[in-house]
Amino acid sequence: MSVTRYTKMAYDCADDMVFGTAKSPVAYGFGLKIGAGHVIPEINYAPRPGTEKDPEKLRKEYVDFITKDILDRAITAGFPDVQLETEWVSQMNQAKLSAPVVAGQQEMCEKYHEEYGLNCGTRQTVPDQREADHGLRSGMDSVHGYPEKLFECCDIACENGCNNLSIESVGGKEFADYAVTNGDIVAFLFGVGYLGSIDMTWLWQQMSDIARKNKCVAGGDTNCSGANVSMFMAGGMMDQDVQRTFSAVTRAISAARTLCAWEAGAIGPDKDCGYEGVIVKAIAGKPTTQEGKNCQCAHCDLQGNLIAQCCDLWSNESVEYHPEFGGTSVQCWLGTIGYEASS
Amino acid sequence: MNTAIQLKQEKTLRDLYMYSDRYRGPEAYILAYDNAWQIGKAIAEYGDDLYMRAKAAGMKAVEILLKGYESKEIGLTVKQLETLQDINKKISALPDDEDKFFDWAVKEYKDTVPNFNMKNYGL
Amino acid sequence: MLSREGADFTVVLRRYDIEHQVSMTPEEMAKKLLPKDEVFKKVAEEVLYMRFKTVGPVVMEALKVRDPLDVINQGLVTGMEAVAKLYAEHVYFLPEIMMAAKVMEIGIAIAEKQVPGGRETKGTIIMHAVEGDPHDIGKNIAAVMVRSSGYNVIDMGRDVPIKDFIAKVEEVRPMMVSGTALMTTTMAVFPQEAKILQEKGIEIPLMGCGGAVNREYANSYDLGIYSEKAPQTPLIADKVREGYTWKQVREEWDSIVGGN
Repeated sequence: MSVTRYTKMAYDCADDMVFGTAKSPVAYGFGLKIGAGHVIPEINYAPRPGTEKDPEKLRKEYVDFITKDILDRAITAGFPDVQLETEWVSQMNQAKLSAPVVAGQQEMCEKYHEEYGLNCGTRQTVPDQREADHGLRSGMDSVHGYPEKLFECCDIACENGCNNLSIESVGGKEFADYAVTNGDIVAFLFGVGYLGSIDMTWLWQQMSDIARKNKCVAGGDTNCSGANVSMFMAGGMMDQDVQRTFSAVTRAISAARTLCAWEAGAIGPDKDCGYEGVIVKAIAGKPTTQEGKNCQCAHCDLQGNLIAQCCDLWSNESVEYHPEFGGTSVQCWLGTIGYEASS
Repeated sequence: MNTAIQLKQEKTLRDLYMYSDRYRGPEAYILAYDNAWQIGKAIAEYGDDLYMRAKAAGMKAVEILLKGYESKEIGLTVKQLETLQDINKKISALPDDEDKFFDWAVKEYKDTVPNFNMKNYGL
Repeated sequence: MLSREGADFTVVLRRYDIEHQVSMTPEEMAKKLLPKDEVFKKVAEEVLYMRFKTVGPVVMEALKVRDPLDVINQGLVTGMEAVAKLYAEHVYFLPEIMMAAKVMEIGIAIAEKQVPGGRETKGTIIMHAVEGDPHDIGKNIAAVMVRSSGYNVIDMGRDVPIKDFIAKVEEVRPMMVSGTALMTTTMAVFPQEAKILQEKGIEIPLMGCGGAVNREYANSYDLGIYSEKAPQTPLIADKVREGYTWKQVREEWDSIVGGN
């Protein structure tokens, strides 16, 4: 896939930007249209520990429990659209564990779309397990083969019914870790802004090719391993291991990196934990996924309302599947993001 | 959100969301859509140069925060301000040339950042 | 954009970070924390003010007139203790801890060459990110803090297979071990490690840390104790060094970690 760098803004002015609408909307799944005039809730979840040990247990957890619960709640509450995001646990880099989950979720979505007209689909976020000490590029990691496993995961996801292929890539992470703990902004600029951009470009050229070959959408990425580490370590009002002005500048720099996925063939929407998505949407005009006040199950940030300002998908980040008074956790959290999207 | 869009109040709701957190902290402040757009513009101006656009993004965030602090729009603790001023000094001192920056950075970080390997980036 | 004229945002949010910021400078706080002896004070200041370039020459000068173990303990370590105090009082933050620890290590490396038989540490602790978990930034920060408190840390890195971890514990016989898990799918390793250690008769505290772990979980299996954040780890280690068992650490956890 060729690379086209953005040198012009998709939006002439900031006031043209708003939630629910992107300059380049994207359609996939069963009736999902992202950035086409309305906001869609995106529900994200984690399986219970222990379910990853057995393919049938894992499939049951993701499909019969999590996916069914989510789609049932969408119908119960009258939500017209829902996107599901499966962030693969590391064990799913084996087809015997991941393929039945992807296929099962696709089948379940199709069933609810046919029966109720519910617009739905899945984002499959494959794991980036690459480690800088063993090697980030194909052929370098003779211990784990993580670069090769990454692309195998893309193949498995796309061949089994993934609608949106995404990832939280780790290029530049070794620099981010050093920069954040030592307060070295130049290290962050070099490692994440520059080297991380090179890595993301390389990665997404290949991921986009795989997605296109299988008629899936290449969605997007985030700087979870850099800017979010910075944000989490800056913490809340009274936590100040990392100064919040430092984390603000790392966020801005990370946008220059996250843009690379869209320059290398991805078409959006990007990943929910990429708070820099509003900057990237301003440049590229593609739809962005955001999370904030309705992701308290995962964390509490200091821009919970603001970050909804220009979102096209609104996410809960992640919640472990378990019972609550109001239903299962995925049902409760779909309720919060779904009602916000409705408001 | 979707009701606001249907009743043509989406920009009002957008602004209510934005203002609710605009002054909650520096990261929220630079992500407010007007400031975010400016950072985006700074990136696009150097779109073909991965180094210069990342540097421009950092500099624009610093500029927005310093301006916001000086105009009393956004408050900062003493330590947050000192850190910002230090960042300003460090990024401003960097060259405007990718090759110069690259050569310097490789020398500077090759023995300090654990697991730094140029081959990881095809270099 | 909507106009914000006339709006009072103090009704919307409160900047507790600005209201509660500490105004004392490191110099003001350090007056009470530094040694009285001028030679040790000079060495301690190298650590306190993170002077990479001059710590070497200052330590060399001090070694001419003072015993090397005293230069380490009353100079370098005292400087680090002052740094830890400034961190606890929100005058210093994480980057200062990391830099001061590096300066201290530089100084110790020079001084301990002159200690006959080498320098004894307070004890050995093995740290690791558990099998299947690649996240290690929290562990790396804790390792720096624990080393700075005078312990020998064997850092096994991340994604450490259970069998390798157990083998290392059997070989080294540390006073305690610590593990990090950021994912709910990896924290299940802790009870497995604890069970194997117990079967082998190794009844040392196994500290569970990381984003996925909470106190309830860490206390749900034998040997398990909890550390919520990096600064708590050396405080708990000090109690284990005094002879506290994992049960005692659990019982007195709140008073051990105090407000940290």
